Amino acid sequence: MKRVAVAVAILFCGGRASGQTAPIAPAAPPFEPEAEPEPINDSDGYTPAVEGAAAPSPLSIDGYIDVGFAKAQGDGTSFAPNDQSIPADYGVDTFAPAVNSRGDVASTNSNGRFVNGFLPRSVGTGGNASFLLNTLDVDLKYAPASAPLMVFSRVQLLPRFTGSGDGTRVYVEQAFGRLVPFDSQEFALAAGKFDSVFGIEYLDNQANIRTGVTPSLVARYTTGQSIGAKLFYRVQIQPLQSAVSLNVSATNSGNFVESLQPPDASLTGKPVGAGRLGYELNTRGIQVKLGASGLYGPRNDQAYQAADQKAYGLDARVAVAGVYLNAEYVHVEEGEGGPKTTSLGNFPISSSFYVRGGYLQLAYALPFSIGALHKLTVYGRYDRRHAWFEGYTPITVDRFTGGVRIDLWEAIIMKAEYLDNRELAGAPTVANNVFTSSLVYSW
Amino acid sequence: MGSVFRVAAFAALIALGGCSQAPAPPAAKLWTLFDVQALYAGGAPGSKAIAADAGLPGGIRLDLISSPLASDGSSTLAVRTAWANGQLVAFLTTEVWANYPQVWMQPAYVPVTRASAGGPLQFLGGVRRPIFSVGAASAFYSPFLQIVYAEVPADTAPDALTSAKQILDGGYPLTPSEGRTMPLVPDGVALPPSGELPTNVVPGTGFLDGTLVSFLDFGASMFTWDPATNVVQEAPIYVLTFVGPDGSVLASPSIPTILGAGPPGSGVAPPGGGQRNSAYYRVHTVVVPSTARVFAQPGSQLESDLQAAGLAAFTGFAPGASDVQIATFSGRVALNPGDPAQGASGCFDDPTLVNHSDANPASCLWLGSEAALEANLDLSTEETTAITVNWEVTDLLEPDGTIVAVPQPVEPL
Repeated sequence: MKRVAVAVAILFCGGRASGQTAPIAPAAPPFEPEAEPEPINDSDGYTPAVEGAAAPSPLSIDGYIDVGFAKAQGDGTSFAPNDQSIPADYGVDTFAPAVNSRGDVASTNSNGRFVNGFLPRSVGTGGNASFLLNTLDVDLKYAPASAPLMVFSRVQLLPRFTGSGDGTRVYVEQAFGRLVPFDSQEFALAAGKFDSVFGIEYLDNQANIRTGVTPSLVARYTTGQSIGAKLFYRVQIQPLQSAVSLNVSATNSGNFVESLQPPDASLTGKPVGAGRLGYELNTRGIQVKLGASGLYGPRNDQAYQAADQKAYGLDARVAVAGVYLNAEYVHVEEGEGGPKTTSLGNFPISSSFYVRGGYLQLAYALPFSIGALHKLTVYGRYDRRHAWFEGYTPITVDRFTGGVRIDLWEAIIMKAEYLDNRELAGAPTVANNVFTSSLVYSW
Repeated sequence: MGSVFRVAAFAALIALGGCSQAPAPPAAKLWTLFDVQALYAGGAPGSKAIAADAGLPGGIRLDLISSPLASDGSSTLAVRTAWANGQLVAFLTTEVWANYPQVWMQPAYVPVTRASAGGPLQFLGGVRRPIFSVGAASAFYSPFLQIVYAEVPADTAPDALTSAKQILDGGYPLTPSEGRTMPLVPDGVALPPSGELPTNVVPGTGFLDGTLVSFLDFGASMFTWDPATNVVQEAPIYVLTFVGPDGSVLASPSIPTILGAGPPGSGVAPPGGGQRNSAYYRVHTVVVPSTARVFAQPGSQLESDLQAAGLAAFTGFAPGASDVQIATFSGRVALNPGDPAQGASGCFDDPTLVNHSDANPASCLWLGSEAALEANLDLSTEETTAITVNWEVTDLLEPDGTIVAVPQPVEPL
């Protein structure tokens, strides 16, 4: 009992660090994201420690390096040169010209036009072809044999040039402790900074996991990490070869990415609740995973508790005969609040905002392996997003993404893809297509 | 049991998570004529104040912007008066902002064409029909617009272009030009009858996202902006306030405000020495000395209004004042009126002293201009409020009852 009390105390009293999904199991194949947010069924739960020299080390260090090369059209932004409407980031999709798995774009330079904080991070390359060091990731995991506890941290170094100087960041993306209190149940409690519980795309956040290079057009609403507590529970229904899972969290900011809502402090004093109810069918020939997600709470880019945000989403994954289909739909509404604060700075107004969007991705792993070539995957994705700020022209954009991924040995991944961004309605047509590639070394 | 305790303890700790809230910074809020109409439609009385917590005692009443809705749903913009360089002027209010550090000019695209190569530009279809890019429901809506002329082929159908996306995607030559103040107005909102206010304001229609919208064209050169940021430059207006016996700050809309000078380059100089400058004003309050008095004829509506505002002790009158003097000075604040109750003599003792004369220091010192405020008041009492307004000076009000419409500047096209 004392052990448990100490564990709980550590979880919560130290919960101001930041963190995400625990890679208890080795990374799943890139196009086969088997790892649920809390893949307890892939672990052996709590078992007594192995005594003696054969005991595995409780500490493991993993990570990856993501080196990129990208070229965006135009000036690397989605801003139309002749458009003078304000804010510049309200009438276009600033997240469209993404170049890496973090969703960073080639540029967010508005050339002096006022922006109101609806922006992604930028690698500052504009329309130039450039090599990039997207991410240097270091994961530490400590799982003592003497306790049903796992402590995980993911620290990332993000070398960046902003166009006006060095903008390199050291970012604590995840830092949490997870407790499995019941030996016989797939039940886990976690506190700290951890991954989203909304939808499925957050499972692909990391470059060494994601099938392609860039996130979808709706990833900004569902893939962010935040600080808080979460609970995961899964029930296996063996006669039906099925399982039902529930993953819920209470965090500072919900699941928006950090450039839109800061996760490291609650600006309202009230948590954001989120959750996903999932169903899995696991047969020998086909795997199906379905989920429904929801989010509700105050938007964490301003200080008013009454300015709420709510979202729901549906997701599906099907794997059959080497073909992998991922699809997700997201619906988000944000109420008007006070002055806006994001990780990118302070802005005068948090406008009411609405979005509906989703994506469908198909990947096919060619059924051969030759020497160092372990896997060759081709993939395509279609994204569509319809969004508007209150009183502002609604915009509809879509994107076709096509690419190829090559896995060499177990440690190197090469990916290349092309993003064809289109402005279908509202937003002015701009040249913002992107070619990008990624070379990922894992250890 | 132990596991259950673990879960319970965990849940309790989550529940104990901070749910308190520190004071939130004030939210920016914009009221347009659409909002005023919606408030009326929702049952709000004309006395309902907006921007009530933004530094101006009493806020801004709805009926100071437009009249309550008539049975057919229509309303009329309210005419108010202010002092500008000693000249009484009439103005209309179309927008009120609270807690906006700044507002921005937005573009309005106007399709133009040439009947022949090298010929003069003319409005497509012969009508100025601007294409707006931001609607009135947006927090970034602005009545301050930069006209961007889009030169389109001569055979373009008059209503073929109805959205900013069409203009920008069309690749037409774009020529940014003058700034115009053109607030969008809902259906049913009318200008005051021309007999009351012979203004040069022109109603018009344009497009917003493919939909026809109505607007009022107050003309060009009413404001200036920072060309690097498109931030509209603001001018001050001063609301005169009194401190009551209990220390409360008292103000009344029946005391005309005083317009400060606009930024260089804004406005036009109408005849008579008045000014029609910046349409974008920030409200400042200034406390006038307790010995000052508002000139109000006993038994007048003005006196009743001031009494209702708790300002009865701060009114005064010069017995024997002429009708012209009453028309000229009613609502105006004199700094040296005297106080018969205290046995203090002053310019209200004798009607011949009411008209100010530089040669006679006993004559009234009136507050009717920014210069008079600066020369005669302790401006350390000045408070900058969080309220800005779009006030369009439309007419000059002469003491003899004549109303002169402020002339429009020369059209650039």
